[in-house]
Amino acid sequence: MPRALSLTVVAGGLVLMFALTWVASVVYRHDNDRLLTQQVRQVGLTLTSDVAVIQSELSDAAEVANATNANPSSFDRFSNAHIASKSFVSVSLWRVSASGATEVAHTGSTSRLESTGEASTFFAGVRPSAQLYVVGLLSGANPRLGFAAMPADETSSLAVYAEVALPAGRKVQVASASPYGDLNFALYLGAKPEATQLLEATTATPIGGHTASVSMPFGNSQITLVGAATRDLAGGLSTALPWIVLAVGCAIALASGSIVEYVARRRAYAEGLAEENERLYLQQRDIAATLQHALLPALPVVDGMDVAARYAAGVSGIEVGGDWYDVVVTRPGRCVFVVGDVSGRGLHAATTMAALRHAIRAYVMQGDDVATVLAKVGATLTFDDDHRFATVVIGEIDVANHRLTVASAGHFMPLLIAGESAAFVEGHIEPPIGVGVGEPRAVSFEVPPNATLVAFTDGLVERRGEIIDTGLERLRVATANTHQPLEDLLDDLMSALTTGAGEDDAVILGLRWQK
Amino acid sequence: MAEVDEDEQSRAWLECRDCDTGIVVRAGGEMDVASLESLQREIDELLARDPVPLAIDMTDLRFIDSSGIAVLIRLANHFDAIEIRNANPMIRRVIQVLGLETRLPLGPD
Repeated sequence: MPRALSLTVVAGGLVLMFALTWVASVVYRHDNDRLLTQQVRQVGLTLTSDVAVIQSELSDAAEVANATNANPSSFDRFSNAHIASKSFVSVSLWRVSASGATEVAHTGSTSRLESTGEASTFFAGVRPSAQLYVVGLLSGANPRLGFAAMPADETSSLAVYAEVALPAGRKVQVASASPYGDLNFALYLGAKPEATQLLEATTATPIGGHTASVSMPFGNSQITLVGAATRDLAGGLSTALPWIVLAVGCAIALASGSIVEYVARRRAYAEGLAEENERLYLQQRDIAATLQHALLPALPVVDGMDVAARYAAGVSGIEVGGDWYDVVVTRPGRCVFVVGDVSGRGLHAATTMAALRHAIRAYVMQGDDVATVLAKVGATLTFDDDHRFATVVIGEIDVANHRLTVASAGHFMPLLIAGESAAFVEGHIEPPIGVGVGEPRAVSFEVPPNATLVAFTDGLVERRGEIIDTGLERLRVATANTHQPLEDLLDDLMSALTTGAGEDDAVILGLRWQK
Repeated sequence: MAEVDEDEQSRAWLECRDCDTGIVVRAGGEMDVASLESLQREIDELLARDPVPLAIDMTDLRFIDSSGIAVLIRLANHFDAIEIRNANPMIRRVIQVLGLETRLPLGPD
C-alpha cells in the first residue's frame, strides 16, 4: 500500500509536470507564432508602402502627359530622373484605347512587356482609375515587375508604364542588424506562394520549417510574404522554459514520491509496532490475570455464612499483583479470613504473596490465634532482602456466637455492615509485615445478626490525588443500608468503586452471617 | 546529589541539602513504582552514607505509593533516626493507615 501511494504521487506529479510543460511549450510556440506573424506583416507593410509612392509618381506623370498632350519633353524629364536613380529600368508612355495600346514614348531599356508581346493583354485591363496595375514578367533570365497607372479621368487615354528589375536569382540580402535580420522571407506575386510567382527571397525557396505567411493588396494584385524565423523570436529563456519546467517538475515529483514513500513506510512501521505492542500487552495482561487467579484460592463452604470474593486487575495490570484473599475453615463453626497486599508488582511480588498466604494458612491450621499468626509471619518476610512489605488483615469468625476477632499489620480494617449502619472496625494497626517487630494486638467483639463483613485492598479505595479517607468513606456510603445478596453487593462495589481510574489491583472479600 | 527530571512534574526527585551537617533530603514529584526506577542511583548513594539522623522534607512531594513507602522504610532501617517533614495530608494518612507512624515519624512541619 505505501508503495502504491508513493507511485501514485510520482505519477500524479509527472502527469501534472508534463501538462505544465505542454502548456509552457504551447505558450512558447504561440508567442513565437505571434511574433513571427507580426514581423512578417511589418515587412509586408514596408514593401507595400512603396506601392503608394510608385502609384502617385506614375499617375502624376500620366496626368502631365495628358495635360501636355503627350509632350515628350515633360515625359522625358520624369522618366530620365527615375532611370538615373535606377528606381526603374524602363519607363514608357502608352496611349490606351479600345482598339489596343500603342507606345508613345520610351526611356531606358526596352520594356519586357513589349518584348514578350504581353502589352496588349496587360493594357486591355488598364483603366483610368486611381489604381496601380501590376504585372509580373517573371520568366526568363531578367525578370521584371511592371507597373502602370492611368489618371482617374475618363477623358485621359495615356498611361505611364514602368518596370523594375528583380535581383539576379531573385536573391536579396537583409542586413542582420536590421529589424528583420532574424527573418528569412520570400515574396510572391499573387495571393498564394507559387514558385513561378516568386519576386525575391532571402534564402532558398520554398522556405521550410515553421513559417508565417501574409497576403497584402499590391496595386490591382496581391503579394504574399512567407517568413520564417532564423532564431527564436521569443528569446532563449522562452525556448528553454518548457524543458526547465519538465526537469524541475520531474525532480519535484520524484522527491515528493520518495517523501511520501518514506513517511508511509514510517507510518506502516509505527502501526505495526503499535499493533504488536497492543497484542503483547493483551497477551501479558492475559497471562497476569491467569496467573493471579491460579494463585488465589477457591473459597470453602462455611456453614452459616455466605462467603464471596472478587479480584479486579488495575489498568496497569499487565503484571501480576501482590493482592490476595483467603478463607480457612479451622473447625466446624469457625473460620479465619485473610486479605493482604504485597507492595510492588510482578512475579516477585506474586511469589512473596503466595509464600505469605501459605505460611499464614499453616499457622492458622496449627491453631494459632490471629495476633500470633501475624507475629510469626512477620519473621518470614525480611524486608532488607527484597525491599518488600505486606499489609495483612486477618480475622477469626465464631459463626454461632457472632464473634469476630481482627488484627491488622498495616492493612485497612474491614467494614462491618449491620442493619442500617456501616462502619469500619476500630482497632490498632501494627506496621506491615516485614517492616518491624511490632506486637500485633487483636480486637474482639460481638457482631449483630446478619452482619456483613467486607475486607478489601487499597485498589478499591485509593485514588491518586485524593486523601485515603475520601475513598474509605465512598466505600462505606456505598454499602450502607444494603440488602442485596452478597454476590451482587460485591459485583456492584467492584464496578462502582474501580471504574476507570483504578490503577491498582483490587480485592474484595465478603462474609455474611446467614442468621 | 543530582536532581532528576525536575522539569517533568510527574517524575520523582530526591535532593540532598546540608549533607555535611546532617542529612536533609528533599523529595518531590510523585514517588511511585514507575518513577522509582529513575531514583535508584540517588537512593543507593544515600544508603551508602554513614547512619546519621536523616530528615526527609516532603514539601514538594505530591504522591507516594507502597513502593515509595518501601523506599522510606529502607532509609529508616539504614539511618539512626528518620523524620518526615512537611508531608501533605494525603501522604500523612498513607503513613498512618499503614501503621507506620512509629517507623516513619511525622515530625514538626
